[in-house]
Amino acid sequence: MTRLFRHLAFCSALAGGFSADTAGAQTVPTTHRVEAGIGLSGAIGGAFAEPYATVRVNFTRSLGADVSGNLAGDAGTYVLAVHYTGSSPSRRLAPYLTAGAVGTIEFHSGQAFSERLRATGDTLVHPAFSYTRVSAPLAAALGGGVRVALAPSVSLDLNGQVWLAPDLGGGPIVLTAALVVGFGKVH
Amino acid sequence: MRTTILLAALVSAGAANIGCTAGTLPGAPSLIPPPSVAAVPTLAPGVWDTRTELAAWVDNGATTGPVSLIGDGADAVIRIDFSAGEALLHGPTLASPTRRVVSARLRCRWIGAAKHDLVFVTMSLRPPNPSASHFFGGPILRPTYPSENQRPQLPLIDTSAGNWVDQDMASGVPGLPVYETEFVTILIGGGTPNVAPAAIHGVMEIDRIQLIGPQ
Repeated sequence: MTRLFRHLAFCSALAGGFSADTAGAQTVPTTHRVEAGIGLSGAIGGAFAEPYATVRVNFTRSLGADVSGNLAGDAGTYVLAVHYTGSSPSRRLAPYLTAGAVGTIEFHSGQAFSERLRATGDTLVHPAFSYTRVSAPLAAALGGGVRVALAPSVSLDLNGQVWLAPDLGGGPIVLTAALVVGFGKVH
Repeated sequence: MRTTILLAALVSAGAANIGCTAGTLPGAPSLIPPPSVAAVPTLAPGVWDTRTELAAWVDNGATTGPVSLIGDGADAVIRIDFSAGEALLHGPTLASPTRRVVSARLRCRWIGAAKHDLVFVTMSLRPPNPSASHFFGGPILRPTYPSENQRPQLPLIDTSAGNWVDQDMASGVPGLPVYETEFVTILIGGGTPNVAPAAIHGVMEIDRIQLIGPQ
């Protein structure tokens, strides 16, 4: 989990840089702005309250790209998605739609160990290993949500997605709630 | 609209190429062989019978367990005290032509067994320079019986009488394959290489160990 968050923070730093945001509390996306958040995710009828992280890069006022993931133990999922923000009657609320793909992330590690074969007295020495496996996308992810402004650079992101795998009749519905902080220029 | 299409294409391309693995994958294990045991000259090739010959299986730094050598000359026997656990007899390094093993025979007896005790005797033919990957000890010889209904790994000898028995050992593989063997080990006790030993009673004495090659 630490590695995932470190990776997301690195992406944030690369894409946006860090500068103070002095605008009023509103959720209209601004161009060339990076937002990062952490929260919890859960699937209806499945896993509940897993750690969740998200990074969004806004390219225009209505379009952006999302990278998000959740993690439970040493495995989790990632979502790459296009993000479309619609118009809203309120400056504090920003409804949006997402469409993308979901895949899996696995972290594997093991200590070196040795075992003595009772049959012959030979000793087998197994070396240590540590690797991360990121799958190719496994399913389409379609969803939407709303962002609620809490402060000039802080908002609450509530999101729901359905994951549609080709070999699944239905798909899990995944709900997330995250506290999001924005970085970058305001236009 | 053009921006939307471009963005969707970029995300799709990124997603399609994301499958990867990074880091140190589990490597193949390495193998540390047990101490090698020097060969001793034997009167007959592949037969250890006298005290001097049987000593090569006992006093060698590689054999483990409650094993002792008693008696002199041709009357000497290897004794295993089961009250102190199981034993792994590690044989001397084989020289040609005894390196080619088909089966084996043990002359032995079990004294003082309790009513429901079972002793397991597993003879492992350790190949020369085995690959550490997927190595679990090499071919195994087990006691054989005249009756087809009796499977290997039944009690080795008559537990009530304590009589001497010439017990044949074979792989059970059809066609009597020949196994190139660097050394032989004999695991004797209440378990097998894959089954934890149960406590058993009495002592086993081995009077002769014979390896049998191709005819």
